[in-house]
Amino acid sequence: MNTQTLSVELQPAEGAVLRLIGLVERRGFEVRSINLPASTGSLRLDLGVRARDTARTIETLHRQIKRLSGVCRVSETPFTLTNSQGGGDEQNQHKSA
Amino acid sequence: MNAIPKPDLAPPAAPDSAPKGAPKTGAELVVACLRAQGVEMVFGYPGGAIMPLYDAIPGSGLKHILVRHEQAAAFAADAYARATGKAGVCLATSGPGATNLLTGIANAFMDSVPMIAITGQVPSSLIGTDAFQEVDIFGMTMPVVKHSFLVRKAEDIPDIIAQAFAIATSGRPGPVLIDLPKDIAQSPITKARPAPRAKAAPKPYTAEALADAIAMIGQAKRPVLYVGGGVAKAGAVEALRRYNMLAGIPAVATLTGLGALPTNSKDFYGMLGMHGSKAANTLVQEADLLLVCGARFDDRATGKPDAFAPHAKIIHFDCDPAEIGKLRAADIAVPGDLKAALEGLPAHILDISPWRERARNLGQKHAFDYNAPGAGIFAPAFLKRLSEAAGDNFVAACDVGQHQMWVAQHCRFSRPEAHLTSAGLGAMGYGIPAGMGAKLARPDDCVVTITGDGSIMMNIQELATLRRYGINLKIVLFDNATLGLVRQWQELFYEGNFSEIDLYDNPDFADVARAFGIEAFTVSRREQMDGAIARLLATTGPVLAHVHINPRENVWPLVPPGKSNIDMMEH
Repeated sequence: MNTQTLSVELQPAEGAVLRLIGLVERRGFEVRSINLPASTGSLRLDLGVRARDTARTIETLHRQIKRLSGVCRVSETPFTLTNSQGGGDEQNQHKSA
Repeated sequence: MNAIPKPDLAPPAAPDSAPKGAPKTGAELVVACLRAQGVEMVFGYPGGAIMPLYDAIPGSGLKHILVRHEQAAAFAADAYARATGKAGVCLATSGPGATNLLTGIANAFMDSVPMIAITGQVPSSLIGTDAFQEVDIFGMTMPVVKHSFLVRKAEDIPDIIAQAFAIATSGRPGPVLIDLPKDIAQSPITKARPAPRAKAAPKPYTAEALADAIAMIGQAKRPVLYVGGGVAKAGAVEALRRYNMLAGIPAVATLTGLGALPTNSKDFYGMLGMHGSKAANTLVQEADLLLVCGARFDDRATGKPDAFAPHAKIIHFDCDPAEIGKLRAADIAVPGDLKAALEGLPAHILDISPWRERARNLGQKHAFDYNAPGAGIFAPAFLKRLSEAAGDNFVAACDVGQHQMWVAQHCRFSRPEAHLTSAGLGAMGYGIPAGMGAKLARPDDCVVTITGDGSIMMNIQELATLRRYGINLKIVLFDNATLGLVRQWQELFYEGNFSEIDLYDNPDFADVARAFGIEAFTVSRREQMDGAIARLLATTGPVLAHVHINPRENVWPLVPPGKSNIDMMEH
């Protein structure tokens, strides 16, 4: 199964990153990569995820992440935060639609 | 009875008449915020780290019910919430108090019940040092809460509590944990005040999706309504009843969907799934369209998933978009406000007469048979008779096992709040605390806990709580001196290798109840059944009916594990 990428914008509350990554693992995916650029406001986390079996779909995982409190945006296309300090990797990425 | 003073159970004072003094500590602010959210009653158990909060409760106008185990506080708060539609609140101290809540929090999560669990925590400076009674309950509960907070500053308390209630009760409800370090609870407050309640309105459905659904319904020849617990949670019971009455679509329900349509309504064919009715499972199997309303294709409902409703298109109504397509793809998805969506369906009778006739025939052909052989009490007959005798005020608070399935199959329910059951988690020990919470929430209802000799021992200490508060809960204990549902599976699917299911050395449960100061009686013969039901209903105060049943009685019908719902074993 291929690794797919999800970009998630979330409020920097206590436990927010753990909550997100825990959900991904519990819902049948393995986390293959994580990128969390420095930011003054909201966090943007890029996750490379891979389903543990063929019954798991990225669409369902996407919706399960989206319903978490504190998650502002989920995209299968990387995006840039408007309030970001600008981590080095963000300069060449385009905004999601 | 022993002379135990009965605490005053008069309704708590209205928020307006609560003490006017401004909160002076974090703990007093928590209590003031709970009152501002309309909380009248909480369930809990004190201990070291939560003592500042308990110090703030007396005189606050908040009614506290002292349970005898924290798990019971969570179950009682869960049932209080199911019975009222408001968030239930439970309190526990740090460490073991918090971990004892965990099963109850998971129960609320699995069944989408709004709950606020407040745990004491060791002082902020000691968090992460393996302090006495320290556990990371914030981390431990993360998989089973809708959201959670660890309070770091006392001035955040109003916003956290307002957010917690809004999250717990909005959209798809669920439990929210607030972990409160002792130093925050003790810290002085100068400015913070309770924040206003802020429940989010349901998200609207899209008109295009509903129009597509209406067109698909118009084409269907064999539609079935598949009703789940989400209907009642969305406040959509009346909308569903009106639609079903006028459209005349055969309907089935999940375990948590029971009562949304009255048991006796003409187009209702009972529960689907593993212990569902043969008629319900056959209708789903033959359907060409499933209108899924607030249900989530749970494995106990669907059986073998790729054989479930193989000919049916799916229209899925749910307030939670994450449930759509999770286990079965929807041909048309209508996420959003379920009540408004159902109200938007054109309510006119569909041209499906042959299908209705087929459904009626299936219903008659596979009606349950209450003429069991032998002279003992037949639990299905007892439950049917009990629920009919109790009438529209009947509320069943179930434990988990064979009796739970018999309640679902044989009791008459006129409303969804009448059936309180640990459905998703299947937590033995739910019955008595759930009955307590429901009876305290709805004192005029006839609340009956249905339990078994396995389940009752998981929270039997709550008989003391019933006695202390004089809670008029009726308990029916079906005693087969075995773990019946496990025994049934070992008989059918493990070649009769009966392993660790024999409870031959149970105590005399009537004696146990009397030792707690609760009236109790024992019956075992069929001719005693009507008298037992009459005595249960006539007794004022808590009462336990100890009902011996045949240990070899099984729950029928049954879909064997890994099989299609159409492959039901009937005996």
